[in-house]
Amino acid sequence: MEHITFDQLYRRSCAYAQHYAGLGIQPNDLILIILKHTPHLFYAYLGAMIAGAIPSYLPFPSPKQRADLYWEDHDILFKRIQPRMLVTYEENLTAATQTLPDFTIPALIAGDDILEGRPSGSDTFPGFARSADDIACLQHSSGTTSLKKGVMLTHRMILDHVNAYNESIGFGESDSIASWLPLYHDMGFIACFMGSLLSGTHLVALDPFEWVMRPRTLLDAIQRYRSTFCWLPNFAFSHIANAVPAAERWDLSSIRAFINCSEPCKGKTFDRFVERFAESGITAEKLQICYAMAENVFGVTQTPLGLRVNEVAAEANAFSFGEVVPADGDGIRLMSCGPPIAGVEVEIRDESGNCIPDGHIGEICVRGPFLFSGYYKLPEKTAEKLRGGWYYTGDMGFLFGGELFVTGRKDDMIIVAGRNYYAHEIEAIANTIPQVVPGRNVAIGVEDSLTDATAVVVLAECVAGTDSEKIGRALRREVVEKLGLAIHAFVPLSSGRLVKTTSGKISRSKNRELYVAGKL
Amino acid sequence: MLPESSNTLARVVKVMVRTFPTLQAKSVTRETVSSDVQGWDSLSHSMLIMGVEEEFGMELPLGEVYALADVGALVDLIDRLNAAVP
Repeated sequence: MEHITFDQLYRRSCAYAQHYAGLGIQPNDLILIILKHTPHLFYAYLGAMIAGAIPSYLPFPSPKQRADLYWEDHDILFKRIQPRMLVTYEENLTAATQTLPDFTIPALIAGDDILEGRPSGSDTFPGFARSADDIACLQHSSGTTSLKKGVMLTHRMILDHVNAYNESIGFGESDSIASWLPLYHDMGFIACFMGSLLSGTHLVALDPFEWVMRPRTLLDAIQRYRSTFCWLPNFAFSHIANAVPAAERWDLSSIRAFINCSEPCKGKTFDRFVERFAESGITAEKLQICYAMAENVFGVTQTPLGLRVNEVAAEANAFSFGEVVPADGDGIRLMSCGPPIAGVEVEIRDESGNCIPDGHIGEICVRGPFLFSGYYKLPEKTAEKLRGGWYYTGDMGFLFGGELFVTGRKDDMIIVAGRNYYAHEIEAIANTIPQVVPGRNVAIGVEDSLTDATAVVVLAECVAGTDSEKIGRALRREVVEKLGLAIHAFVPLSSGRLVKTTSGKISRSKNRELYVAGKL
Repeated sequence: MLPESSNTLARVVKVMVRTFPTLQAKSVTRETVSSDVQGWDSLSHSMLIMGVEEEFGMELPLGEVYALADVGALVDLIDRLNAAVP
C-alpha cells in the first residue's frame, strides 16, 4: 500500500502537466488515459486538468479481450472525438500501432521517470486560468467503446455537484472513503476520487482487479483506515458476502454508510449482507442507496443516512400494467433510491412526454443545476436525450412519497457488474455463428440466484442436428473477445420456439418471461 | 504428462465442479478455457481461484491468475509453485 499526501499528489500531477506542456498540449486539447489502477492514474488525470486540457479515462484492455478488436473498436471513438494525446504503456501503444495502420495519436508513456525533477513555475499552468464554465473533463459512458458517449462536465458542475451531494450524505472533514471502483465510472471518479479530493479527505483506492480476486481486501482496508463511506454496485455486496470466509469477523464499526449504486438494488442482497456482517458492526441503517448518472455528474437521488431504506411491496398484476399498488401479502419488493438531492428535480413521464402521477411507472427524467449540456461531438444524441432542459434517462421508475424507485430500462440495455451492454450488440454477434438461425435469437438479462448479479443469457434457435455445446462455446468466445463480456448461459432452441411480438419481431420481454418461468 | 500434474488436474477439476454447478468433470481437459464453461466470468473466476488456493493451501500470484490461458496453465502454475517450496 502506497501512501500519497496531498502535496505529493499536487507535485506529481504538476510533473505530468509540465510533460504535457512540453509535448505541445494546449488548453481544451483532449487527453485520453488508459492506465492500470496505479497512482499514475490520478497524476495523469489531474496533470491534464492543470495543463488546461480535457482528460478522459477509458477502461484498460482486459487480458481476455482480443487486442486487435479492442483497438479497432477504439479507433471509431478516436476518429470521432479526435484526442490530442494518449497516456498509456508501451505495450498498448505497440498493439495500437500494429492494429491501426493510420494510428497517429501522440502518446505519453506513463512511468516514474515523468515524476523526476521538480516542476517549476507550476502556478503559471494554463489550468489555473480556466473559467468555471470551461469543460473540465469528459466522462465516457461504459459499455461498447465505439458507442461511448462523452458527457462534458465543467468545473462548476463538478464543484456544485460535490457540494450538494456531500451535503445530502453529511460528508465532512472527519470522513474517509474506501473504494475498489474503477475511475472510468462516475461512481469511482466523482463519488470517490473527486468527492475526497475536493473535501480534503482520505481515499483508500484499491485495484478493481485485485478486489475482485480478493474481496476481503476492502473490508481489511475499512478496518485498518477506519473508513466511513464505501460505494458499491449491488453485485459487489453479494460478492463480498459470498467470498469471505464464513467464520471471519472485521471491525466495520467506523462505517457510516455502504451506498448501493449503479445497478438496481435488491432487498435480499441487503438482507444477506446485514446477516453476514452483523457481528462486524453492520446494521440495516448503514446500507443506503443512490441513483446516479454521469449526465448529472453523479447523484440524482440519495436515501437519508441513519434510517432504514424505504421499501414497497407492489401487487404483481397492477405492476405488470405499470401501476404500483401496495400488496396485501407478498408483492414485488422494490427499494427506494431516496428523494432528489438539493436542487435536482425528478419527474416521471409517459411515452408522449407528459408528467404522470405518483405510483405510475414511466421514464425517469432529470433536471437540475449541474445537469450536463451535451455529449461531446454527438449533437444528435444530445438532442434525443436532452429535451426542454430535461434529461430523458431511459430508466423506468416511479415516485412514491417523494422518493424515487427504479424498475428497469426503457431500451435493451443490460447492466452487468456496473457496465452497460446492449442486447442488440450481443444478438448481432450470435447472428455471426453459422449454426444459429439468422435473426432468431435474443439476449436477456436475468438474475443469477447464486450471486444476485445480472447474468446475460442468449436464447437462440439453432439449425437442426448441430452440436449445441459447440455453438455455446463459439458464442461465449466471440462475445468475450469482442465485448469483454462473459455470457452466463446459452440456451439452444429448435426452430420457431421464440415468441414474436404482434408486429412480427422476436420479443425480448416475452421470451425472458418464458425463460424465467422455465417454459422455454 | 507427469503423474503429479495429472493429480493436480484432478484436484483442480474437483474445485471447478464445485464452482460451476452445470459443469461435468469429464468434459474438462488441460485445453479447457473460460468460454467453454457456462457461468465462468470474472466473479466466478475469483471463486475458482479462492477454491484452488484452499484446496492446495497456497496463495496464487494475482498478476498471473487473471491472464491464465487455459486450465493447463493453472495446473502448471500450481505445480511450479509447489516445486518452488523448499
